[in-house]
Amino acid sequence: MTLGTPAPSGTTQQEEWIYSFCMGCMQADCSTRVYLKDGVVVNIEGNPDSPLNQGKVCPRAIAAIMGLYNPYRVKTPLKRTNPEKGPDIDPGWVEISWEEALDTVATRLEKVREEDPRKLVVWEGWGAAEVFLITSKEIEKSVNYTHGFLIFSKAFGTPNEVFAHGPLCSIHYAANLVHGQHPEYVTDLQHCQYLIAPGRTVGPNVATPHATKRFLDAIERGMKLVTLDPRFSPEASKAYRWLPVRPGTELAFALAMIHVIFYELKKFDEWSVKNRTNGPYLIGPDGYYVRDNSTKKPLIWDPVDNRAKTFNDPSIKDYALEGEYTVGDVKAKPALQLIKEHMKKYTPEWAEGITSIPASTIREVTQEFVEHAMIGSTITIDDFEFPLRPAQFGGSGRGTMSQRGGTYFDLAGKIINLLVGAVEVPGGITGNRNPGPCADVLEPDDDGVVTPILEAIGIPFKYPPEHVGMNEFYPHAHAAPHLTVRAVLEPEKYYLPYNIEAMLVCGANSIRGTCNRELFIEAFKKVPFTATFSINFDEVAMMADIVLPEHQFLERRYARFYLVAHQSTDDSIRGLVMAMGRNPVKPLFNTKRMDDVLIELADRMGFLTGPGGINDLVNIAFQLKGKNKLDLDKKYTIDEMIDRRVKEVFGNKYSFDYLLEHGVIYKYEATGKLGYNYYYWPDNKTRFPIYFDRLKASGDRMRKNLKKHNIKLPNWKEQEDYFKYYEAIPYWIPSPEFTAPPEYDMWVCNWKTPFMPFGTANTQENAWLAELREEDPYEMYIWINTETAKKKRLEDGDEVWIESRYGKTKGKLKLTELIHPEVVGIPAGYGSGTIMMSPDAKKGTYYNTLLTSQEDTGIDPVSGSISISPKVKVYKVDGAG
Amino acid sequence: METKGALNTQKVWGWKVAAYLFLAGVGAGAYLIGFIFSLTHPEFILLSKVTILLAAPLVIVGALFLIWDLGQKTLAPLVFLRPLSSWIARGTIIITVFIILDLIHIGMWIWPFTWLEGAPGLRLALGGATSVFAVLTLIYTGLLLGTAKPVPFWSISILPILFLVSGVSTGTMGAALSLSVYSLSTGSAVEPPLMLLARYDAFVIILEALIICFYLIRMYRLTAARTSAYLVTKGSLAVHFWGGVVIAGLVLPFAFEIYNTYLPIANPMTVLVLTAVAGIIGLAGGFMLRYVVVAGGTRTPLNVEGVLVPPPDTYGVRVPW
Amino acid sequence: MTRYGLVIDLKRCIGCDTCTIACKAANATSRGIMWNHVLKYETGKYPNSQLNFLPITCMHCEEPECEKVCPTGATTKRNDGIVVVDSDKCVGCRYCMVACPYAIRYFFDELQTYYPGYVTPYEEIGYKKHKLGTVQKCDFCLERVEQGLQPACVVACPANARFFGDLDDPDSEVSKLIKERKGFVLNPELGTKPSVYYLPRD
Repeated sequence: MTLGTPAPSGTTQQEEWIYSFCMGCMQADCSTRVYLKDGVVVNIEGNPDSPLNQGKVCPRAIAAIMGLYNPYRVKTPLKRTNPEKGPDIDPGWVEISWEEALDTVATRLEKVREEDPRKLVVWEGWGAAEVFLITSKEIEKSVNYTHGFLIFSKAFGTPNEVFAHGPLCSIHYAANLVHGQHPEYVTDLQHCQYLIAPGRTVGPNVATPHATKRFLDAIERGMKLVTLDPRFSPEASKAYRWLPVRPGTELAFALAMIHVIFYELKKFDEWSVKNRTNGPYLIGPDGYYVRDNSTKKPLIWDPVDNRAKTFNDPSIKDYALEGEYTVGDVKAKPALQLIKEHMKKYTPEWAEGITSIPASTIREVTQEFVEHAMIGSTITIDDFEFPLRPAQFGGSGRGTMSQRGGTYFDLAGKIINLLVGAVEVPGGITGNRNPGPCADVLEPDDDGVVTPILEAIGIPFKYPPEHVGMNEFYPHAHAAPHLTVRAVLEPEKYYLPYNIEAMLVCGANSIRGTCNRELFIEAFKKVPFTATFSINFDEVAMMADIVLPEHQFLERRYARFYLVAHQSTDDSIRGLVMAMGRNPVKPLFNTKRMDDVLIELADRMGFLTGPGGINDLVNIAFQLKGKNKLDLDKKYTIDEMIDRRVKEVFGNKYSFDYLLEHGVIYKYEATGKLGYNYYYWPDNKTRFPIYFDRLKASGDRMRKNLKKHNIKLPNWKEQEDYFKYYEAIPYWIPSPEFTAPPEYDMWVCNWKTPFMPFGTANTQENAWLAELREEDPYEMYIWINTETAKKKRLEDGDEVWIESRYGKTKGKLKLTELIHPEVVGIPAGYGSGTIMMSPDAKKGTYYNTLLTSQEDTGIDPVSGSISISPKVKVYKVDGAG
Repeated sequence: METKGALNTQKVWGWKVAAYLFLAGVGAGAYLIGFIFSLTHPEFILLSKVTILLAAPLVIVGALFLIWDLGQKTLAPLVFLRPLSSWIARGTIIITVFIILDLIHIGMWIWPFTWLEGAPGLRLALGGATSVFAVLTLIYTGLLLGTAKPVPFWSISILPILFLVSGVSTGTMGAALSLSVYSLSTGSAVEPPLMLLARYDAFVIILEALIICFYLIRMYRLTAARTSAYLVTKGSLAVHFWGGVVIAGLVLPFAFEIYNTYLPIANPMTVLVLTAVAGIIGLAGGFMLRYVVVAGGTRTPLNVEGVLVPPPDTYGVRVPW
Repeated sequence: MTRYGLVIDLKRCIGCDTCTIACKAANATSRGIMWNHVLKYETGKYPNSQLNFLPITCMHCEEPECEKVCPTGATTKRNDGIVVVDSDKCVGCRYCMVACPYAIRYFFDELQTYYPGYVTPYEEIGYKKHKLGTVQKCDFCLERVEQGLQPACVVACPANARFFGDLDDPDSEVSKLIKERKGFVLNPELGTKPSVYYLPRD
């Protein structure tokens, strides 16, 4: 795979063009060329010089033209005159000047800051993915993620940052814990021979160019893909196997795979488990490590010398993985023994009953998986010998993580990969931190286990809670807009010692993107002041007091530093450090760049300069040193800050202007053997947790804290139900959907498509994408299995209601063989809008009304994610049977 | 072999094209039977005159529908340019010649000149020449539709013959209708030619009905054509077919003609009125036949290494705002 | 002799429709008209289902039906193999549309803008390329091709599933792919001899 190869099959036009990059999805890392004629955008193509997308794009990049010229955009700053708020209520907008808008917002927010800065909630979403004052994901270990992570809100002094994508993107815990990396983990498609992909995309389902190419190259190379998914996706059309599964039951499948490995195949990577996991660590009756009395280090049992030793004792001859041993007066078992015993009941037959996947298939797939893992094999890269394990299970996918028990599923997947040694080695799963592999990542803690970060550490308990998002009660949660609004509406119930007085919305629309819409609308109504940065009149804009119109992304001069590999990795991105530049198209309306406005607001409110101000935090976030550091007392423009960063990363002979002229600047910091984390901590120098004592510890801590303050978890009828999800070994807990009344006889599921993977860049209102999705025979319909439809006497094209116990939605049926017989499927996120949006925007079926975010019913208590596959019933709209 | 999805009828050519095919058929058909009867029954001068008077105007009106259907109407004269390969070009030449010859015939015999009044031989020669073009007009439309390779409902060799026969039948009914109207308004006797027309048209109708049966049965054998045949006989075009083509176009006129031939009605006025009514109904049915053929045309599916897939809809998706 | 042709690899196509929208952006077709489509259809029965993608555009046939039936000579096949419509000569009779076995010709009879009642600056410029009342279709981006560039759909495809080149050159990428992977055409029984080849998915 050569680096920097231009697009293999085509060249681009030679008319007048400028370098740009796309923001049509949350990755926002496709460098483009924007073609202009008399200042009008006439075409968009990929930039062949980018090592990432290599001259290619997806439909959304090209559709940006219609996004730019969308006449339904917000064109000027607006002030509301109708005090009544709602998505379908005319706000009585009055155009105001920027001066009035900024003054109003700064004055209101300053007042809040003086009273109690916590009273401001800053909403962040993928619409602000490139805005570094809002989405400063470059900070990792230096600043705890949920503690004040976003530069603007941290400088303001509020801990209340709410990520709109939070509840459906809660995929970080296991990666933060096991890989010590953030945000997630990806598959090594350069070496992989067998990939089991549950409830996720590896690229093609949302058509991200680089992931798609990598995926197809792997398929061409002969990689076998197994998709575990209720629906047959475009990726499944390239797959070796499609395993149709009941949504939300993938955990049962994973547990059964572990059972088969232990009890039937009886084959796993012993060397890897002994040397690179906490599998051999002795666990006492309390569920924690048995520790040496003096050093306090965890103990293992050496079966050759027949005694316990600390895990890093140089005299260890072997590690026991099974058996029961007595250490002092404590009876202990190696963690792996506990895991093995635990998995005994999860037979393939048991799993078949829950997942509907035949037991024989579960056995076959597990066998194929273990065979392809080639336990014991090695590969030499740059004279360094690595273990080679070209089989992988998983990938953080919303389809499986956004379920009650989703965290357990992710952890069970880790166990599967760890049993064959396919973690952080060529062929295996790897964390996807930026800029890639380095020595810090797998560094062991005092117990010799990979140091966890961010969400796996969680925030410390505090009573009364600091965060409106209830992070104190859900310390490992990603972000919880659904809990935020509940706390806003009932602060006493949630022990919140203050009221929310202001909302600042930056590229986020939780009213559409979450569920329990009414709660969000009520919360926004209750809060006295809301200001939004908006490109269109979506639900949050309609709840605003002041609307601050934002540039459409093509109009923003910007630089984006390549973040992380998504979906998969190979040599083209290992160790890649890259920046992309965007030359703006002349703005059409009276709009501004979001961060310019934020700088202005910070200045007016007095936290731009000085210690703890914006400049200070930008220095930390960008790791600026020496003369690149911002002077704390000067006012800088966004462009100047970007320029400093370019110099810091690439060297002083580069600049923002250079980047804008050349489109991309890149280098590789970790190539060859340096591109694999194993290199830095080989053999037994670090260990991955396979027994999740930290999760258990977290649950035990919560119990203690609740007791100490004599409080209960808000909104949990059965407190114990919460703690069931905080055990050291994942286990199967049927969600409340399993006890739904029999009339709810179907499951429902959702998936992303190339036309609308996110609401980012206003894909909903985009007329080109609207035309494509209306022509597609599958996109705007509710999928139902043909046989099932026949049994229910439903026909193709029938208009039906899909109803869960929490809400209902309607649409037209599409009879198909591409979905599990017990499942109805609704693609993407259509069907929701406001009275001020285009007619295209509201067409389709809205999914989220089917869900609930009520704590004891619909969320995963560890990650905070919302369960997205409830049980439903299907019936015709006219009521006839 | 099953097609992966529903086959749509073509939406490119609609009722305007059907109207043209119909009018050209009536005009040319009328002329033709007029010429034939002028050979067998030269005494029916009125019949001859009526038929040649119907021909050109009807074909001209038909051609106007065609021009109305074009995207660039002002460029219409360009359609003559490719007679070596295009049936539209050939057809335009054919009907132009036919119209000119018929206009000459009218102009020289009826108005403004009557030079051919005393020259039956010359009239016959002119009539013969024009009839050749009448026949060509009748069958070329079938050939035009027939060269559309992807529409098996049209590319059957029987289509030109069907259009010929239908043209003759509708031409006959048109002539009969005209004679009745003429008689009702001027009072002249038209019974003998009417009876002649009725008697022979009955046979033509039987022939037409047989051809239609044969046509539809043949269509059931081919995939895309089967869809067309189904649509026409049982689907969305069934009403047009059974009500229009069969009952209005074949059964009722046939019934009336038989009745009138073998059980002659005493009251001549009734005969005239009923002939006129039957004529109108029959002509409507004749239009329906062209419409059903045009609207029922279904494209043959795409053949993707043996898997049959419906082709993309030719008109795209129109958005109702 | 150059004979331009397109090769589409069905093993790689993921049905994302980037080619469709790239064509649209490069050619500014009106709402309701798409020169490229990606047909999506199922084969097999659950659980042995299969989803298939078929990108389809003008085949630029060696024996084009459309050229035969055009009464004005507006549709012609160039020496380099590209079949083009001269909109100055097209009368809009649509005979070519019924004759085309692949149904990939489109009648531009009504301008429909993307946003109701509003013409975007892009459409203002782009729609000038098209003449109302005429038939239009893919022209292999001949303006780009004449400058030595590739068609928009080929450049854009993120799956690297589209290839363009000279079918008469045995060393061109397209010729080699067709030979090695046994490329096939649609409806060979009709004798149209398309210049668009598909590489089978297995």
